Amino acid sequence: MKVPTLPFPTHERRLAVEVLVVASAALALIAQVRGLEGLTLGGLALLTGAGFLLTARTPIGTIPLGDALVIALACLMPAASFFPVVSLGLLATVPVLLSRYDAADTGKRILQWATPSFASAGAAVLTRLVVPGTSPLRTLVDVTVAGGVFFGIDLLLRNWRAPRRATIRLRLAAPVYLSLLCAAGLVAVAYLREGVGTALVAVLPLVLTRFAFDRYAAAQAAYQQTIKALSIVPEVAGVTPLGHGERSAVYAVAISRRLALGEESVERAATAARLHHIGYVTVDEPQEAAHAGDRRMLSGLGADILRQTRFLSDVGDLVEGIHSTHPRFHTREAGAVRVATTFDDLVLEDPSRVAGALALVGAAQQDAYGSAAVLALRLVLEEDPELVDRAIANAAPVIEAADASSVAHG
Amino acid sequence: MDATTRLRLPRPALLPGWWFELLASVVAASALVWLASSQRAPNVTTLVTFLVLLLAAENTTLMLLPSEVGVDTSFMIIMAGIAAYGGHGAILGAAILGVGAGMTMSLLRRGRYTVILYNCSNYLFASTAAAAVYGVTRQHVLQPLAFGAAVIAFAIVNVAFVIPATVLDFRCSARSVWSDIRPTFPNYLAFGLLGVLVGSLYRSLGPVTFPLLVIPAVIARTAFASFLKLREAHEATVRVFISTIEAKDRYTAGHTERVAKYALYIGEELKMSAVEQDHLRFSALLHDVGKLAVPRRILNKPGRLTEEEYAIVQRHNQVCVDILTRVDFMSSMVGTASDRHAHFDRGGQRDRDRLVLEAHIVAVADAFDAMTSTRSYRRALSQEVAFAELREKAGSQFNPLCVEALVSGISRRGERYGLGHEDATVEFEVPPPVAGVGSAGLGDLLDPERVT
Repeated sequence: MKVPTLPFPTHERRLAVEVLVVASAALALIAQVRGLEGLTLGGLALLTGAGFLLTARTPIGTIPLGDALVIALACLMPAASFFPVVSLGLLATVPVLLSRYDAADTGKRILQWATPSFASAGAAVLTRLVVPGTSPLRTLVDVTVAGGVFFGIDLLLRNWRAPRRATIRLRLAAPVYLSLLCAAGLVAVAYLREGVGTALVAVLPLVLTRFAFDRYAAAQAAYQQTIKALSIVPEVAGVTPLGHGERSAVYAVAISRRLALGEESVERAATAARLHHIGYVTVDEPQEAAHAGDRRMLSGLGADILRQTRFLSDVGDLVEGIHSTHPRFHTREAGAVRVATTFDDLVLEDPSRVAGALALVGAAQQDAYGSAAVLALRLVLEEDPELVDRAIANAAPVIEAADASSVAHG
Repeated sequence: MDATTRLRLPRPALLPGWWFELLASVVAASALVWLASSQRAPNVTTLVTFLVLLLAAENTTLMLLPSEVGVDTSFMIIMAGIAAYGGHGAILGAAILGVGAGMTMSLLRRGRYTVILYNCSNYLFASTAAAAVYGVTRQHVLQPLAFGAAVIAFAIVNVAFVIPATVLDFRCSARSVWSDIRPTFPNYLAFGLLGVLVGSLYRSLGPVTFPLLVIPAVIARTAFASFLKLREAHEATVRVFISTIEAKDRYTAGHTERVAKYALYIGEELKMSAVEQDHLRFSALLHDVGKLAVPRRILNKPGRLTEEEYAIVQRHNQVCVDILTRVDFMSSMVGTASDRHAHFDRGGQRDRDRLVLEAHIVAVADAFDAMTSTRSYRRALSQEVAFAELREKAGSQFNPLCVEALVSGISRRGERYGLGHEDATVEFEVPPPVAGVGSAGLGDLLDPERVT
């Protein structure tokens, strides 16, 4: 499978969107001049395709802005026109998708776009049958019903592997879904009252939505990169094994999710797992300090650094909680981080050590939160036997880079 | 200026252009009186509805558009109001809405009375012009064209008010204000037409239209606020680690911040976008992250490093960078810390392709600061010597574009760095020599025979 390095912004995708929009406008113009209805539908199909490719980066992944257009079309067009238009639109996205993903993944994406689209059209048809009428207010009701069905199915398809997390993801996705629903409503009533040209202006709020979410996603990625960069420093200094932070973060996320912690807690636990050795950077001779073994003192130093940032104070508490016996630091999150980091200390890059490591970590826990975290880890490993391999793979680039660097620089 | 459509952030209360603001306010008040006596009154319900929406948008942060958009939410609401009035009392209604758009509680609390009056006048004239143009053109052309003309009229009057006041208050050239405003013109048209659409729909559907616009605006605003908070967290985190680096290596205090500043000078000269400059700043701030892994005794050693110590410094830095360049898409961010990656002519074509402009910029900024700061192994060099050295190595060690951009950025600001112009000097246990052969990060940058 070709995996994109970035979830959204690639030049070829933007170029494809521009080409589709221009082609769509050209078709619409020819249709207007020559009075060809079929060309209008063709133009609309290309516009729908462009909409599928134009996405906003959200906490639950990329969501096509074209969803709004599809919902509006489902409520405005007869089913006989809607299905060919959306099918053609989906077809127009295939070359772009194939240039980035393999055939199976392309098919999966098409299915993920097509299913809610056609279901929303079905819902709109049913609503029209049950409550006939054509007023703009009536259209808004249609949009609400069709949109509800669309986003319900979209959420279902995104979470069918982890239904337990559907509620959390709905909370994360709700703002974007709501924005798309409002845009769909605005497009639909604008089209009914003012015509096609004005309806296009109605998608403008979506541009703002995309702008805001993209800026947030970019800032979050940059912040994560900085955290990763800092987490590698103690590893490079030789006080902790290479890749320890990254592997621990994978375990911390898995345990936190198994404990049904909220998304913010999961993120905090991952950050704490990555940065739990950061205290070493303040010590004069990091390697000697590591050997001296006063881990509690070093956790405290790391926690102090993180607290100075103001924004990572709670992560600092988790880091201090790894070795502290103070009840203040005994929480479910701290238990998850403690178990994750200790587990990786024992397993490192050798999956055959898992059983022994689990037994040792379990025996070492002195509070209920630690024991719960061990139980969660045990369950996760039963449900997902590839977790350890995934954690090792997650840290592999760091280790490979270090090896390459050792060869290059002696 | 933040929003180009109005005056903001003045300090102190009375700015040099207060007399102009007051004069404009007197003229605006007279115009309002005249409009009230000569124009038809608008529909009261519509007026009150839009006025409430306007005051809410103006005095809460919920519906504020991001500053990058360059237009205010008020502008959209005024255009919506004009469309909602149709031909009935649109001119007087728009004028009243314009006055309402200037009523900003934050300015009132800070006692910026003349600025408030000026903003009210600005919007009164701009709104009235838009309504008048719409009233005249709607009888001759299609509705969308009439609204387009109204939006353009609003923009012209608005800008005509903003430029002189900004020039008088902030002592800047009209050309620079205009170059700030110019990029926002497409946004005027787009958001103005969106306002018109909402106003038109209000006429047929009533207030049910508002949530369709307000909800996405609130959501976008909330997401943008989260972005700002995250950026602040990022900034705070990076700063704490910089202070940790500088606490460890006290001889290079302020180095990271200065490198970030010079990097931004270069970024500005090279016309990088705001987002690119933001990324560049973080790259520059993080360029010395490898030092965290270097033992303190080596970093703080007075005098020159032994070969073995120098190798430890280089190795830690190199390993750190090599690792980071392979982690996700960190390469462009911390590849800047690598001498190999930032070196302009090394590494062959494949490596050259991977080199990013950011790395070149930070390499130049880093070298300039290294030369113009006193280090344990060398006293600061003069700015002229530093510039000459950078130019000498331009095309081989440094990207010539970045070198010239730095020289131009510093010269344009009339700033001086280097010998005799250092912000802070560190007391060294062993006084550094007057000349040396470069720095740990630079290799043999300087030819000792050329340094005086």
